[in-house]
Amino acid sequence: MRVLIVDDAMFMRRMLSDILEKGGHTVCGEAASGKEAVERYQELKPDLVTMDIIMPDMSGIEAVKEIKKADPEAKILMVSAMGQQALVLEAVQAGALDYVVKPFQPSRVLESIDRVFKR
Amino acid sequence: MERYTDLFVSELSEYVKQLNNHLLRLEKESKDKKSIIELFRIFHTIKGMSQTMGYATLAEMSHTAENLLEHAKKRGMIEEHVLDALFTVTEIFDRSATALKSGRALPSAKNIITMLENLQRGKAPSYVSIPETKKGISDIRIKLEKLDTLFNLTNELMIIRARINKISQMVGDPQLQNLSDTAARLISELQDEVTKLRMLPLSTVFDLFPRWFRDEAKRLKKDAELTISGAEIEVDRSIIETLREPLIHLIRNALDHGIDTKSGTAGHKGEVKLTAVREKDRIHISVRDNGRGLDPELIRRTAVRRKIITVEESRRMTDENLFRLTVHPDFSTRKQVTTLSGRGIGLNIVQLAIAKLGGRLQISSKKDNFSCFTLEVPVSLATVRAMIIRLNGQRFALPLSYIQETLYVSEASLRAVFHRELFPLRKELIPVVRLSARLGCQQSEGRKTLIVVQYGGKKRGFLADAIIDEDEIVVKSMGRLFTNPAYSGCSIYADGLPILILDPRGLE
Repeated sequence: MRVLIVDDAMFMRRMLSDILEKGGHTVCGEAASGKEAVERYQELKPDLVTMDIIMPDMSGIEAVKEIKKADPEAKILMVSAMGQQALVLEAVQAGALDYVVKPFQPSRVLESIDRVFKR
Repeated sequence: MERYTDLFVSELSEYVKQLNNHLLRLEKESKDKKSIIELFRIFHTIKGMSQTMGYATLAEMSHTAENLLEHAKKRGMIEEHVLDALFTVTEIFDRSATALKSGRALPSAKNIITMLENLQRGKAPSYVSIPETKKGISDIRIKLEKLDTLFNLTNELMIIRARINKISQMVGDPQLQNLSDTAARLISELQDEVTKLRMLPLSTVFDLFPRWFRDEAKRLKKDAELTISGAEIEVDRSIIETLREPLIHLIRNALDHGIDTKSGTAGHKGEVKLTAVREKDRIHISVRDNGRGLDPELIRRTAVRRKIITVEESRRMTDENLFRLTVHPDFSTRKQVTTLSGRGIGLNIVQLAIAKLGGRLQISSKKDNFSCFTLEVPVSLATVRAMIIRLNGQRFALPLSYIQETLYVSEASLRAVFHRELFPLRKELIPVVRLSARLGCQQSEGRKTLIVVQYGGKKRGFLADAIIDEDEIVVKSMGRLFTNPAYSGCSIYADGLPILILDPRGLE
């Protein structure tokens, strides 16, 4: 699967990127803010997006709304730190298909991705 | 997880800078909503990273900081004691980054966490102090060592380049000369690029100051503000590192000795100005405070009492020379020695750094008005374009940046006015400096060359035998034992022998 990774911390993007590549997926792009995420989604049309919630320049939730507006079929997986339950629910209501909580274990991330595609 | 440590550390260090900036902004304006939101986001991000790496303490601190900021977001403002707590947390993050980088254990933060929890519950905290540790900007990426090796190699190459060129000229083979010219050009370009890589803006050092100044002012109970200008000026990496300590000491001195305590001032806010200005190939960095100023009388008495000079000597000294005595390691007018800066050790660090870089220290002051310490250092330690001049068989280098023009002159054309010699240049009369006399060489006969130089607003005519070459030479410092003001450095010339580089200001 071609994946777009969105997170404002380079550290998190790197970790996730390693996990995905090891799991056989291809990271086709990265974005560090909600705004960038929307732009890159248009350019790259990835199979999946992993989206952090709290970011500068448009939050993850806003970005989910924008991306779904342009492409209702977009598959988005929320990645959030513990303690943001309320926001995760909001994201799912906006159209995200699942979520993974930081700190994440590689197996759980890959499982979530499989689940998203089985639907 | 270990392979992510480097990335974690560099991200954390970057965030620490951002945190400090926002915290300082909120200190001036406690309702700055944008900063509160940014702080929230950054602590949140650090929390995520720390949890992933398994650093539970850092994660816990971030989590509590996040909560405090959530609360501040709702209220639309942040309280001073919460701000103080966040400054402390940021400090711990900074130390943690340093510890991780050198493979040491993370600093303990138990009492900080307790304080934060109390804050959350609404209890006022007592100020939690952290013992002072030494900070450095040695937290630059590992490539630096490789960069230094690169730099040294290109310097050696520059020297060889000149020698090859000389020899190929002697051999006279056109093909060889061609290759030598091409090689010279390429090596020169290489040198330029490597030099540029080593240039860093002064902000690299200056950025750390506002936060440190705030802490120091608080500790010394002084009400003062630090303003900085010229941070965008770029300077060679090694120079920047050497400047850090001296500047810290000068600023601390300004705070400690210059600025009065709150009770002493009469509604006049203490100001310390850190200014950097570039003049040709030198940078002038000054630390100026609007405090008590240096008292020549007090310095005179103290220096005599401490047997640094005799009473007669003290009467003959100019004010500026007296000020320079404050640099002497045995000097301290403070009756109660305050940590570090009162022991006189502080300013000696300044002198050493200056000597190492081939720079200068200038001091000016007016009692009850201001004190100003100016460090003057070269922009780059790399190469300098210079004219090679001959003086009775010896050769010296004179940096091109000072030279306005050159012309042949005869002894007859020089005019003696009282004890000075002058040369008429178009509409001006330029004071002449006989280099042979100044540098202890024998005077030679015949036609001479006059080199018109300009520096610091002055124009002079340097008298030499001849100009033999113009070249780009690699500058090497001469170490702190050799401090003749006539020379700013030395080098190896194309003939493989050492050559001294003249400093016009030292030739007066």
